Amino acid sequence: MFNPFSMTRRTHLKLGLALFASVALPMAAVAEQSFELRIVQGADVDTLDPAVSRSTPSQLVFSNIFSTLVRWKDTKLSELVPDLAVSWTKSDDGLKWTFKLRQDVKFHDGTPFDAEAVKFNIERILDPALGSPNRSLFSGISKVTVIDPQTVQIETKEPSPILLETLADEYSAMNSPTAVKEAGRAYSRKPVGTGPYVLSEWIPGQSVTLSRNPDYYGTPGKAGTMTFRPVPEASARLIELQTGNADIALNIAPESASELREGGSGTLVQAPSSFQIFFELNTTKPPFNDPRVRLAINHAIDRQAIIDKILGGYGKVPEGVFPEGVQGRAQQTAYAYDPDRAKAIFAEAFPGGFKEKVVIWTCAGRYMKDKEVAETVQSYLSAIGLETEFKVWEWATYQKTLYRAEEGGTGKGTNAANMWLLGTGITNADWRLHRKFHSSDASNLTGYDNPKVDELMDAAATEMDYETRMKVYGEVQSIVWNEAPNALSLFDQVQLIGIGPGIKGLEIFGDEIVKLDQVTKED
Amino acid sequence: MAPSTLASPTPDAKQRQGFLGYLIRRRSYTVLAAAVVMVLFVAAALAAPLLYDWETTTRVALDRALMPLSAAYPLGTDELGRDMVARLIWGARITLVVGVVSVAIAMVVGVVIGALCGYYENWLSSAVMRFMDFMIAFPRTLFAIIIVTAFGSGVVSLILAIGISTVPANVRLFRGPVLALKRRQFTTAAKALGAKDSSILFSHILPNTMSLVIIQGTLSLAEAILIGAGLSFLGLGPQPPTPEWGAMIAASRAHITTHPHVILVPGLALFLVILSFNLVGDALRDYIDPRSRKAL
Repeated sequence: MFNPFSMTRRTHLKLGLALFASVALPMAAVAEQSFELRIVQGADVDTLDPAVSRSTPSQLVFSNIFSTLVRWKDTKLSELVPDLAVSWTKSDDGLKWTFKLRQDVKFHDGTPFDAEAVKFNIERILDPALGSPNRSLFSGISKVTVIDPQTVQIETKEPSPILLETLADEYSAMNSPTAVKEAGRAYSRKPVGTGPYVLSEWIPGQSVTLSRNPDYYGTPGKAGTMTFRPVPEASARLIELQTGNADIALNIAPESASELREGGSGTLVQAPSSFQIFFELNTTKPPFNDPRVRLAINHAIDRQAIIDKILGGYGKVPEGVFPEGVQGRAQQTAYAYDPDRAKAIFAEAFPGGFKEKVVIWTCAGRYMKDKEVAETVQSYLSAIGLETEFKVWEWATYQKTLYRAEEGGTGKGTNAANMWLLGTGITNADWRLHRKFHSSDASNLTGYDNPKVDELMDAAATEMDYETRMKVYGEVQSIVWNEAPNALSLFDQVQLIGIGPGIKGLEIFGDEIVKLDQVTKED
Repeated sequence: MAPSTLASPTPDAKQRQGFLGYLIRRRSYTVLAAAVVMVLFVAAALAAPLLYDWETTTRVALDRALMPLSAAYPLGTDELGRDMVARLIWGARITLVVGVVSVAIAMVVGVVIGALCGYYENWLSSAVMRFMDFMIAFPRTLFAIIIVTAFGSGVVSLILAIGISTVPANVRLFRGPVLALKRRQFTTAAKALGAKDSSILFSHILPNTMSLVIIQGTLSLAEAILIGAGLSFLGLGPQPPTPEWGAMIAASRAHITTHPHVILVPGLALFLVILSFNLVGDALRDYIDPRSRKAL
């Protein structure tokens, strides 16, 4: 039958080839310019507002959306270099800093970046109404003045040795004033910055997708899009990597590390971490209101055994509250495993024994083997005669509960537990000590109140000489380790990251933030 | 086989002997083996404190973590160095308690409500039946999470969650026989003699449903054990260091490729126990003559 659309075999072939080429060639060209970088991590993003964020998984995501006035040159934190500010000068009395800002920079929503924006952002984080947990870091700033659209002046109450470092931190990221005013409370879901990537989609509990910002003033990002997915199970993250569903898997479990090492579809990257994991102790109620008891309990656990058997050797016994790589580290002596000593001090402090239950809280999946380590610690405490009650929390709920101030007790956070598992990875000496040990800090969940420590920290805050300042912090580290700790230290973490074949260019910082915008993927 | 006489509960022991005899005559050796497993399970659960003390079961000993089967540790040790045999039989206690108590609650409440709904046919019983339908449709795991949030995690919450969520099925199941029985002559006769409603229900009708209770109980037990382990696997059960089979399975996932015994021990135990209860329950149903279930 006559078919007007019939074709000869040759025409069929030519048509097929043409169709194929029309699809494949542009794809090949596009593949060179943009690829999707897929990252899996253990916890979901809680907020994309840098001013209120407390969690590393969120910072990892929004560090691509925002820029700061200055930034660290490399992962060794060797030097601060210009980013949104191109140059700066300090007045003779050390109280006024004048920054010259980069020209022709626009936020993702088109708002121009200028001195007004800088003033807006700093005043926003200082505003008690915002309720930023990071407010105390900026409390030294007294005034921000706009000199002209390209110049801004920041005044501090006392000469501040750490102003520049504060301005390099994630919390100091510059948000678009227009976007903040428009979104109000919803801003944490609609972040607008000046960074190499723009938020394209966020499905809570599922994924966050960023796409490259074509108008970025600096080196353009390599990936076309970045997708971050929360996968709470460490083994599931590894499977995602091995099946090719993810390019980068963060926080690989120690037992999986050997799997990756021996080949398979992925490589293990090991990096030092500034994170130390510990049990914070409630210093406002028994048994841990007595500093002798807090010291005693640090001798009750065998840290080396925990590291060898549970962490597969990936970890270090802590020698002070600062792990290696943290600014101004003053190495201390590791606590010896001496359960008899612990028992003796307990008996001294509580003649007749401590009868109440010690309430232990832990999260699961945020830190390496957190739940298993917590169980082991519980067992060590039972061994010295303590009765315990154990509770496992999911990370986001855990954070909220810990920081929700309750009546009585510490006044800063929960008073329901005696000890809770937490970690900190801050590399800056001042903040790391201030947050946890200064009696006035909003993040001081344990209620730690040591006048000598407060005095030393206040003195250091105005000390302009770097060496002298670090010496004072060394003294603080010694006091909080040898005389009156506020925590039961557990281990110094090691970063274990799995990367897929062909992935290169990760910049891994000690505080577990990984700079991803220059990562490349070869097929 | 169940006689439709007035108030004559079948003697349990005689029936059991008869049941075992029945199994042997039928040559169903798998069911016999299953019955043996059931007995062993209960015996182990009861004997646990005599064989291993709480200390050994819960004390972490990292230097002997993940040891394979040996003479000293017949089932090896788990990831925190604890004897698997100890954890297995102590875990059996929790499994048994959760299973038995939750089924008991579900049975008592289910039978009573079902009998009442069957005996009295009015708007109230219809409303109750519709509510039971709603409860059956409600997802069990979600219900369990609600209970745990309200009462904290632990054995009590597990029992409440499983028990309450099993009630609707029992109500539906026991309403039928009661509906049928109340139309029988012996009920009319009792009424004519002036017997009160409650006396008719409890002395005349319910005893005739006892065999159904036994069968349903055994099968429910298997289901309850499975659900209990599942909820515990999700973290809704007793907290560490209390051993529970579902939680043990969850904790051992990280070592599934390197030290499979840690997951196989509680996994196989769970499988064998549930299978045994199911097999015995099925055989019981056959024994008590399938015809009579409808004739009841």
